[in-house]
Amino acid sequence: MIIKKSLLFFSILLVLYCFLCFILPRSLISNLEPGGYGHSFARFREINAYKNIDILFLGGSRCYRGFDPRIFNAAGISVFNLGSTAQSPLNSYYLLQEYLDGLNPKMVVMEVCLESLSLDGVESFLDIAVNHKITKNIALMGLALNNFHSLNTLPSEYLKRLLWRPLTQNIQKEILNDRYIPRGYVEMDRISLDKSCFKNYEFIIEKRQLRYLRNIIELVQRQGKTIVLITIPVPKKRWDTISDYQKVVRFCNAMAKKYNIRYHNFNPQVFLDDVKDFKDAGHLNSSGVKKFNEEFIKINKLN
Amino acid sequence: MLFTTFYFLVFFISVCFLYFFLPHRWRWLVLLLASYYFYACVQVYYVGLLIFVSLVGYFTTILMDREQETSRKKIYLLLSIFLNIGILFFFKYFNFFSASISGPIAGFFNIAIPVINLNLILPIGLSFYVFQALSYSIDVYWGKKTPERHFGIFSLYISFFPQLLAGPIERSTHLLPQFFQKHNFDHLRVKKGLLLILWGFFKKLVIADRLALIINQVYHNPESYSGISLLMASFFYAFQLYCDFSGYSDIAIGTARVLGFDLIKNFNLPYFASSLSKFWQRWHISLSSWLMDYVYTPLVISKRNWGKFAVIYGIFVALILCGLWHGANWTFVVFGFLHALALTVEFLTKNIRKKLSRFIPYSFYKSGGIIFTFCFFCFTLIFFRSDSIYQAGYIIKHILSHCNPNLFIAEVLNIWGIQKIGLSMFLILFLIIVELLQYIKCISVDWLSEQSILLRWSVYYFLILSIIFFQVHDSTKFIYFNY
Repeated sequence: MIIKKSLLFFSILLVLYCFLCFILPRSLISNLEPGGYGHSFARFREINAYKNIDILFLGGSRCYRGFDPRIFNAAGISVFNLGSTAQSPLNSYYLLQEYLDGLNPKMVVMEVCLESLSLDGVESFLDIAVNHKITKNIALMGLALNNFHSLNTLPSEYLKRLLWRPLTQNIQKEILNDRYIPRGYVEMDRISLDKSCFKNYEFIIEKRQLRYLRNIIELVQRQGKTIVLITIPVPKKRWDTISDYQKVVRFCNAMAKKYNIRYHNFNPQVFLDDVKDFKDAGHLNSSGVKKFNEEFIKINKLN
Repeated sequence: MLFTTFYFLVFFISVCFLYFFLPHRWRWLVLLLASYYFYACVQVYYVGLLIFVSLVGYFTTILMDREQETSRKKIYLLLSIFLNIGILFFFKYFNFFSASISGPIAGFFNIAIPVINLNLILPIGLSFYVFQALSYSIDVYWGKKTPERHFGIFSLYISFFPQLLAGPIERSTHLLPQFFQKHNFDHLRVKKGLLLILWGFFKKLVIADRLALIINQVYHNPESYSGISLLMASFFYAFQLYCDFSGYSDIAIGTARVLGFDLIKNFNLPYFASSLSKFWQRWHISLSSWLMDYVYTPLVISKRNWGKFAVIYGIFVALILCGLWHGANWTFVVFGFLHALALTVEFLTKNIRKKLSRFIPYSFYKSGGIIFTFCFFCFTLIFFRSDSIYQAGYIIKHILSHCNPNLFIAEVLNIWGIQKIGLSMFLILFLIIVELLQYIKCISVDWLSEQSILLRWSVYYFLILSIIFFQVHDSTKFIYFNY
């Protein structure tokens, strides 16, 4: 009797769930609209057009706002920025599983920062789930997060597209002051440094993210490609204020030694101006990106 | 392993299955191993600390019981208090006191004193299980409880996983005997427990986390917002804190109920309290009753020859300790101080208010009391939520002086969106209506279990689907894990 009742209960729940997926407006129930703030929709729509690139950049918003493909193109280097909002190593690993063979880069540059190592990866997954096909790797990413939010986003996104609006019908929404540049770069000119940028926060690095970072290094090396770890520049004042940044530097140096790979920490840096070259405490603006990318090309002897 | 993870669901189902499947004599072992595993998943290094607290509580009370003389018993009690409070001080308060003392001393003597800073992560749940262990030692000393001889059961009392991380702080006289009782699978009890868990998840994931999106944004950078936005964030915070903490408590109580255990109710509609003294009988009941029984009452009794001043003294010590229990920051001390001040005023004006109430219709008097108590609590929560006294002062000053409606409208339209604010207000209103119905005794978990299947299942579907569709991801960590 209890089993029959339970089966009936869950059957009705499933029907109601599908019905609500159909009728509830997306804006009311999704944290993120297709597109999101990082132009993920535009990025994932064009990625399959690129093959055999020179450098693949992996990371969160600092990454896709930090590497301008036009500057690299001028130096004869083809690149792609594979990032999403608040992307952590966990998210990067599954995206790499999805696209490493297709893009076939000679070098993978993995952006490592304190903030991304302290994330659980759910925000990035939500950004990816609403802007990408639900493939095996995206589903595995959702399951790996071990979070109710990601677990119910997977079927609900799948059902929404099946019943209501396929992904192909969406368009990338325009975001004020941001411009999407092909090959995954998001350009912006805003400057909005505020006092909160320079408070000392305590960060707790997730062990799981460190594990996925190791997985990324091993995956890339198994494919016979070069991997470089980098920490993108932040304002000097922020680097000096947040003491936990040193934990990441120590960890990356240890990884570099263990796997015999290069690690470049661009902090504290001398070639950028805290006021003129940064949009906020974590992101370069277009002026800063130009200087940083030229420095990156010089250090890696890519020219 | 947080309650809001898939791992916890698998863990809990496995524990329930093993618990009800095994004979009664082995069930304590299942729960103990599950509790240690649960804590190890959160912070593996501090399982040793949990075992240490259990050892201290167990052996000091056994030795206490062997002594006949009170003075010798007191030695073991003081040892237990010293070790437990010592652990709490070391992990939670050392840096705070180090910085607080060296600064003024260095300033007074005009010398440089290095601030010693221990770079330690606060063990989650420490404040809760230390207080639980302390209450046991004190109860044994007072003769209220005979010491527990079974070390395994006693360790389970300290580490019982539903209430390990954020309470309720249980009493040995209430929880310990339950571990010796046989609990059979009871369909009705399990249903009530699951309903409570569902309601807890709804409050946490749908209401608290949604409000947190706005509150965190404002409190992260209060200089960028108008006075009305600051006021709105402070008002929302009262509901975020309540839904987050009472949500956790409901999940903890519901989880224990499924297994057959009855935990202390931790919240009893606190925002319907018509005075501050009644508020503290309804908010975080396990902590306020702990402070009442082990701090306030002994202090007042020991200083009873001071008359009214004994009561005032007890109020201030208990409430400041209450503030400090929440965190190592002067903002929490101010929070406790303000409540102590208000309770003292309430105590001293009791007779005057009683006389006044005869001239005012009862409903107005009570409603006024409820509104005033809530507003006062919201005000003190500005200190509770702020990073520093300076930030709290800034927020209060701007609420009073920068209330520009046009700025607020611009912020609603450009920063948050009408939908976000509207949904947040709707959820608060929904919560108030549900709690009002509970207040006038129209609804409760027991009441719902007696209703028709149509009504019951409608409520279940509403809660489950709301959690699925309206839960917010920003932070799934419970606020009280920080304490």
